[in-house]
Amino acid sequence: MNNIFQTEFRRQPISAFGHIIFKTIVQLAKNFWPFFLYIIIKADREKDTGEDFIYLILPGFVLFKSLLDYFFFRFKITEDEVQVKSGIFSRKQITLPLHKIQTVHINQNWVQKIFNLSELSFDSPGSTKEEIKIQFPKTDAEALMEFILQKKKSEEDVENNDEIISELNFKDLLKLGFTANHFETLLILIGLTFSFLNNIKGLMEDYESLMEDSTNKFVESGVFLISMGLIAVLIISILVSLIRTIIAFLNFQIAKNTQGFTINKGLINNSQKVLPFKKIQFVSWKTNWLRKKISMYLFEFHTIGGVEVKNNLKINAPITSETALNRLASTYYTHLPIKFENNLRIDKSYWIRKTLINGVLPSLILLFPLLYFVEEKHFLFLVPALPLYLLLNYGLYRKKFLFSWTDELIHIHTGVFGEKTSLLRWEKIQSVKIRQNLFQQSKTLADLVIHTAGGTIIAPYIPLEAARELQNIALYKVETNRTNWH
Amino acid sequence: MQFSNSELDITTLPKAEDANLIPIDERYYTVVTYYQVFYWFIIFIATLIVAILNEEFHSWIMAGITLAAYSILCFLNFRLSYLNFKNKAYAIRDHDILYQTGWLNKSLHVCPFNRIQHCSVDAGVFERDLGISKLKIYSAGGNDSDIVIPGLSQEQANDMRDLIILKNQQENE
Repeated sequence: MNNIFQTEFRRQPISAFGHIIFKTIVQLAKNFWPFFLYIIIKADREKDTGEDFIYLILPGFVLFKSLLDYFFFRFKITEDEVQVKSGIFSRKQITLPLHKIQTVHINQNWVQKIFNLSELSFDSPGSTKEEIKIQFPKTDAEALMEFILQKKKSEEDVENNDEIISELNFKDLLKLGFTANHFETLLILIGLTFSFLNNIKGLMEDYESLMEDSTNKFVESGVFLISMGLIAVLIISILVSLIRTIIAFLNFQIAKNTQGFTINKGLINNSQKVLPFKKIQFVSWKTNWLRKKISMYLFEFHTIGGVEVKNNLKINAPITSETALNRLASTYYTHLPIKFENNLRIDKSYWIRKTLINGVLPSLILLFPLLYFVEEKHFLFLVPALPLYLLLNYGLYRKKFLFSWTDELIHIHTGVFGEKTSLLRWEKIQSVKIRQNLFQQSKTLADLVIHTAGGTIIAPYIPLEAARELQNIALYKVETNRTNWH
Repeated sequence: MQFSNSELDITTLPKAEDANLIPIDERYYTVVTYYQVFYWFIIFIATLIVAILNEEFHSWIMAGITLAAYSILCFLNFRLSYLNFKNKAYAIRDHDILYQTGWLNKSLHVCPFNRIQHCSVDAGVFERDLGISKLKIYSAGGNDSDIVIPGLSQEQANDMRDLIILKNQQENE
């Protein structure tokens, strides 16, 4: 523990080099994989080309870059601040006072596990892009995290008895996986396949004929095989979403102590996040029809800078019972009212108007060139698909939307196919905007846009009078409240 | 945190919509016009080049249609930006700043002083020539929640910035 604090700048432990090499390789592979695929395919056909490149230059480059990364990254941790110096051509130095640190995360992936290292990442308000990540031996990382958290709360007496709110066992994990949004997974799969095909398109000369052949075979093989194919796609989607869920939430545990929440998860990539209560701007939980039946919810903490932070810092927690849900929600707001006296719904004109503008109009514009240029008319039935889908979408949204508030709390219930509930305390609001397009102006309707540091909440197509009233209440609440919002 | 739960009478709350909004400086419209003339001039030249190179445009009818379309779009654009300019106005109250903008999409944005992160004053090339500036007000609510008030005279913008900073310090004490 004592050797953590030093007066001199130093480099990360030498065992961190393995992970730096790994990171460089991953980065390289992510950016240039079609190129490597090309070289491998080519090298297969004509034995000579590419081999030198693959076996000599590439590892050389990786080693060189990793060495630079390693030697030009130096840091110093004192009892008050973290300082980092990095960069080869443009030197940069970041100083982060320890008391300004909002959250500390510990991550460990499988490479780091081999070397018994952990990666500590610091997160401060404002500078969301300047994240600091430093690798330490695992025990040092934990000790340091402990120290920083103690430091943050040194005035208050710290009792570190974590109270576990929710844990996921394997059965819950399976439930969560099976009830996931398979449609979303399917879309992601389709997107991935297309980008894959697009990327290898340039590599193979006979790509076109290959695609044509397989398409023809597919069509010729008849209805039976097509339906088999559809079932296969469905099964693959379900399997993939199951795997995604298991990877994301294996060993998931959320606990609460005096400072905030601690979230642990992951098997291959271990992650431990600490979330102070103050950083939470608003909370929401969503569920779908199936999940509601087995009272399963996905709870989300909307935190400062949550709009900009990368996805891996987003804090979601799957919850398996109503009581756990209530316990999480009650840390944000103690007494959740059962009934709200002030309720607001979206105006009827919302879904028709939205469908006209976003669905019918584009379809009509598309229809004319289609009628004019395309020979085969039988797929024109696809044209009304978009307006019909949007009609359903906006109709359900309007039906489910309910904006209610009390003296201290805003409660928003939304959803299209699923359901989402958000809780926002008035004093967490940053600014309020009322906006109206021409149509809304003629109908005295307005959108109320509420900006918070954790994201934006919109109440669309509500009566102008109500919007103004809410704006005035919000301003009053924010301007008279003296408590700090962060 | 002390707990208070006093009854709130909504009718007595100060109303943001009743604030006296101050329209922005006329000189800002000159800047907008400069940019538009420049923009439409380039489009005109581009259209002209296309029309000369393309045989299909070598008739009075085509030339007429093109010119008519050009004038209509040009007129609509100028009209719209004039209406937009007319609707831009701001107000400073004791505890917050109000900014109204837009004609097609009208909005009234209010940001309390105690939520402002920082603010800056800057001016473009034409703006500097005419002696006007933009006041930019940043809050923690993301890019969309920042307020940019154009068309303020330089002194006015600086005064407003200083006032906002002062108010912000007072409120956060």
